[in-house]
Amino acid sequence: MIERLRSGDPEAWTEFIARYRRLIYSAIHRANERFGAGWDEITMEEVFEDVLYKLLRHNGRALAAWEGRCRFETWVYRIVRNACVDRLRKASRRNAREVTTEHDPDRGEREALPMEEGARRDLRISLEQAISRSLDDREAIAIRLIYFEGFTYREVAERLGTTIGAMSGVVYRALKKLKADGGLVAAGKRE
Amino acid sequence: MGSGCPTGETLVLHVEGELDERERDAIARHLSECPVCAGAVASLTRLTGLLRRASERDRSGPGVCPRGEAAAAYADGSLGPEESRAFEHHLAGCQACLAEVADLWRLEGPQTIDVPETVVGRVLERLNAGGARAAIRWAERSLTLVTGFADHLGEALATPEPVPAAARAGGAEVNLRWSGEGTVCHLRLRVEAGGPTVTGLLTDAEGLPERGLSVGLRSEAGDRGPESTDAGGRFGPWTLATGDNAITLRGVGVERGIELLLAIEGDGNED
Repeated sequence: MIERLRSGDPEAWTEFIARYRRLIYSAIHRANERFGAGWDEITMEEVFEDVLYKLLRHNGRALAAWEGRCRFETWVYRIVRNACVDRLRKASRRNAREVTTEHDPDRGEREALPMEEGARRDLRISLEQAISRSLDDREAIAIRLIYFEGFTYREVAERLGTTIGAMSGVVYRALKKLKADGGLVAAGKRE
Repeated sequence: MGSGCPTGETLVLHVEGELDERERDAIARHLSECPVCAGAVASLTRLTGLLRRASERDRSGPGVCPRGEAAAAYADGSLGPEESRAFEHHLAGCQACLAEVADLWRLEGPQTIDVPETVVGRVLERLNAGGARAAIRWAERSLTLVTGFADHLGEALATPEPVPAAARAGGAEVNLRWSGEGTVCHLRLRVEAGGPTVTGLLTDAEGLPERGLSVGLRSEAGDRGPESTDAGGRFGPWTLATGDNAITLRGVGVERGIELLLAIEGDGNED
């Protein structure tokens, strides 16, 4: 099919869309949830349009960039993910402008967030240092997935091919090491 | 912790709410009697809280990330054991790549939601047009109507028929007309420099004002509306932003065919 797209066969567009439209649109819905984007149906349709347009334009040049190291479906998910992240970045630039230039009814709420941006960044830097100083690869990945990416213990255990019991052991050891790491606790106290 | 105390692993699961009800109750009873474990739980709660608050999506990663498909290949299990371990070593220190893997894990799943046929039609239209989405462009103005399309509960409306815009001193007018069955229409205005304002007038096929239609504008400068067209079928004025400006019309009145007159004020070159 990629060959036929490359040769400019318009039938191949239709075929590609028929095969991947549900995969792409379902993934956009899940991205909306994961990123807390709050997109309505019209916005998600626009993202869909952009994803397919990017994939298929110039006789599917973008499709030919797939190296075949991952599965093709995963590669399409990656394109969807990047399109969603791009869209969110644009929106957040827009929001940043709004806060300074326009009346913003949510502003009070935003300012009431538990941590100042600067303090959060400092803590994050201390945390990254503590992770690289104190944790092994598995522990670091588990901590990142659970605390930074919102995965449950069970999900992490499944993804890393282990049991929830073993996972809780990994996390407990990691937390003990982070606690023993003076830098992080000091940063937490400054908070 | 004494010999009758739960393990540290169990306390972590307790703090994270990963225990079942029976285990939870047992731990709660124990904590009320054991200051050592209660202290450990307080400390774990504080630490995990600190981690979560530091966690807001941060995509900056140190060092050089493996290019291309490495994260995707790791995510779907296409890497061999050696490559996988090497990539995990990178993931341990790189939140950006880890976030990509985590996102891919979250995005994959059942293919249950389908997109309306009209959206597919739009994609094909855009591909056939060779990406040139501009329907009209009027000279000396940095304002382009990018897409005019309509959409509703299943079937496509005809693409609006643009009447060439009339440029006039300090502004321009563009008239769009389309007919068919439907309840939702969208159109987008691309502005190369922010500043101009737009007002709209909606009328039906007979030229009578369409009142009470819901109209909204979405642009990089923020959202406006949805608001209802007034008794004269008017909406706006709204300031257009640099980039795409999407206008959406909704309402039952659209089903008899509709005409939209957009009046754009300002020279489009101020920002």
